[in-house]
Amino acid sequence: MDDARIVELYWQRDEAAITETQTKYGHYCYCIAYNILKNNEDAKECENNTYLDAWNSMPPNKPAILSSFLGMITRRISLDKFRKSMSKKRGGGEAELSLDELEWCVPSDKSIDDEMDSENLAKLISSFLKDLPKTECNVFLRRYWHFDSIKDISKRYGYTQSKVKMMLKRTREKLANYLEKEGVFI
Amino acid sequence: MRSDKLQDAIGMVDEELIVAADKKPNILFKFRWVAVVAAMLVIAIGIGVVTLPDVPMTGEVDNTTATTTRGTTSGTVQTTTQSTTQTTTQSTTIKVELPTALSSHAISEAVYPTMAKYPQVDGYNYDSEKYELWQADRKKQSAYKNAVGNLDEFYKKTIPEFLIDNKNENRVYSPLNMYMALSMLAEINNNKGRDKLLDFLQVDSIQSLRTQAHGIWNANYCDDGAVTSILGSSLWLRDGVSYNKEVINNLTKYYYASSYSGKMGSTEYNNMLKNWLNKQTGGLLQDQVEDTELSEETIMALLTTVYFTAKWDKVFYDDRITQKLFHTPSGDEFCEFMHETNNTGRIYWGEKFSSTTKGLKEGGEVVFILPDENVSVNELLKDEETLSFISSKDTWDNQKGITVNLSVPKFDIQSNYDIIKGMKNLGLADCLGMVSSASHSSRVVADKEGVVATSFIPIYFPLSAPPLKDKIDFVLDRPFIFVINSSVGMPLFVGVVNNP
Repeated sequence: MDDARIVELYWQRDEAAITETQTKYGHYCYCIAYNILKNNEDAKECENNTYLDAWNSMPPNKPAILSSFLGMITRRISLDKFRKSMSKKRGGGEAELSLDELEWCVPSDKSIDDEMDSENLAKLISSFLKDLPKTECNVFLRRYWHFDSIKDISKRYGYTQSKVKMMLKRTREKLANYLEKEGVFI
Repeated sequence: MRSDKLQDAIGMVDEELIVAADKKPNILFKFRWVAVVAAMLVIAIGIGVVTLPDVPMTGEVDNTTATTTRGTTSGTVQTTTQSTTQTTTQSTTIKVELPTALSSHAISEAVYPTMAKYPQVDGYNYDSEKYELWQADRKKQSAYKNAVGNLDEFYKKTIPEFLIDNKNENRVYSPLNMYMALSMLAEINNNKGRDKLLDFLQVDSIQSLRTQAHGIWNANYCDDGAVTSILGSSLWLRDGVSYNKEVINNLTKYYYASSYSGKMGSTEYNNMLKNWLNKQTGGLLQDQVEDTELSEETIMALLTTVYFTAKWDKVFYDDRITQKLFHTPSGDEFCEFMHETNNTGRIYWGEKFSSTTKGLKEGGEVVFILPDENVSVNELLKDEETLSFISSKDTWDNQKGITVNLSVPKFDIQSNYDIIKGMKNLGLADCLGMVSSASHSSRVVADKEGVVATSFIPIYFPLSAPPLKDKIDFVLDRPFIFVINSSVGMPLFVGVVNNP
C-alpha cells in the first residue's frame, strides 16, 4: 500500500493503518530501536509504541514521507528509553558510543546555549549537512540518526572501518567548527 | 550528557536528508563479486639468520628458464641484475606490472602465466574459437593438480591450530598460503630446520617440495576474467646483505616469488612493500597492510598472499534479501540474509554437522558446514570426521542429492593473528630460528543482493542418518564454518563466521 493511502487510514481512524504500517515499516522502525537499545524486547516495545504515537499524531499531522516520520518517532522513544536506562548504568550500544563521539563536537569548556531550542539547532545541522559531499552526509546520518555500527556502515558503503571512522571524525570536526561560528556554544 | 541536545537535534534534521541516507548506495566493484578473498602472511626475520649466505650481492642470476609465451606456465623467471653502477633487465616476454620504483629494487621478478580470457557466453551465442582457447588454458592449469600429493594431513594439523579461537571472533585461514610460506621457508632455512619442514610438509626432498609447490601454485592459478586466483610471494632483502643466487632463482622458478633489495626501515622500502601487498590482495587488506612495516633490524621478510574472486554460478536475486537474526555467541544480531529456494543441491552430513555447497561460476565452490545445534564450531574443528570431510568432500559417503532452500548471511569478515605460537605448537620451533614476527591476515567478503523470507527449520541428522525429506531448509543463522575450494577442489580458505 502506498504511503498516502496509509496516512489516509490514520485520518479515517481505521485501525488497518497500524497493520499496514507494521507490514511496510515495522522492520525499519525495529532496526532503529534495536541499534539504540540492543535488546529484542525493548526494541519491540519501542516499535509498538511508535504505532501508538503515530496513531495519536495523525491527525493533525499529515507526513509527506512516512518512513522518516515514523523513524523519527522510534528514534525519540528509543532514545528516551535508553537515557532512562543509562542513568542507572552505562551498558554499551551504538547510542552510547555515538553520544561519546558527539561529545567531541561540543568544546570542553563550553555547552550548548540553553536559548537554542532543538528545532533551530536541527535547522542549522540540516544546513550544514546539505553542504557536505553526499556520501559524508549519508555516513554521518547512518551513524548519528540511524545509530548504525561502524561495521555496518563500512559494509553498506564498501569502505574499510578505519575509513568510516576517519570520515566521521572529520565531519564531526567540521560540524564543531560550524556550530562554533554560528554561536551555538556559550 | 552535554551532547544530548545535539543528538536530539540530529533526530529532527530535514526528512529529505534521511530519505537520501536510507537509499541503498551504489555498490562498489568488489561487492559485485560474491566471493572476494584475500590473505597475506608476513614472516620477518631478524639479524642472525642469514640463510641465503655466501654469495655477494653482485647479480649473476640464472636465467635459463626465463622465457615464456602465452599459456606457457613452466618455470618462468623475470630477472633483474643489479650492480652499483647500472641496472639491466633480462626480460622475458611478459612481465608483472609493478610500480617503477619497485622494479628498480628487484633482484628477480616472477612472471605469471597468461591465460586466454573467458569469452562472453550469451545463450548459444559465443565465439567458439575463443571458448576453446579458454578451455585449453584452463585444462592446462588444472593438469598441475596431478603433481600435487595428498595434503590431507597438512590440512588436519593446521586447520584446527589456526582456526580454533576461544574469543569467539571471526577467523579465516588459508591452508595453501601457509603451505607456500612454509615451503619457501624450507628453501631459505638451514639444514636442520629444512629437514623438519620437509618432514612436516610430507615430502622426502627439497626437489619433491619444489615440484609439489609448483603444482599447487599452478593448479590454483587462474586469471581469465571469470575467476581470479593468485598465490603471490615475495622476498624482501636488506641492502648489502649477501644472498645465494641459486635460492633466489629457485624461489622465482618454482614459487613464482619476486625478490627485492632495499634499505630496511626506510619509508621508501616500506611503501614499496605496502604497494606490493595492496596490489596482490586487491586492496582488500588496506588496514592490515598499513600496519605492516619492516624495521631496521629486519634482515629479510617473506611475504605470501592469496587473492581470489569469483561469482556465484547462480546469483542470489535482488528481491530475495531479508533482515534476519543471526545467533552470535554474544547475542542476537540482525544481518542481511541471502536466500535461494528450490535449488537442486546436495546435502552432506556427519555425526556432528551438516553441510551443503554453492557453486562458483566457472570453477570452485563454497562449502558451508553447520554444526549441529548442540555442537560448537570449536568442537567441530577438533573433530576428526569434520576435518576429513573438509579434505575429501567429493568422496564422502554420507551425501544425498536434494532440493535445498539455502539462507546465507552476507558476510565481510577479517582476521589477523600471530602464527608463531601456532607454528611452535605444530612442532616447527626449530624452523623459526630468528623469525621476529609472523602473522596471517585475511578478509572474506561474500555478498550478493537478493532474497525471500524463509522460515528457520533447524537441521539435525542424528548419527549418520540421511535426511528423510526431499527438500530441506539450510539456514546458516548461527556460527558456521565455510571452505572456499578452488576449481581443482583444493581448500584455498577455511573460515569461521561467528558474527557476519
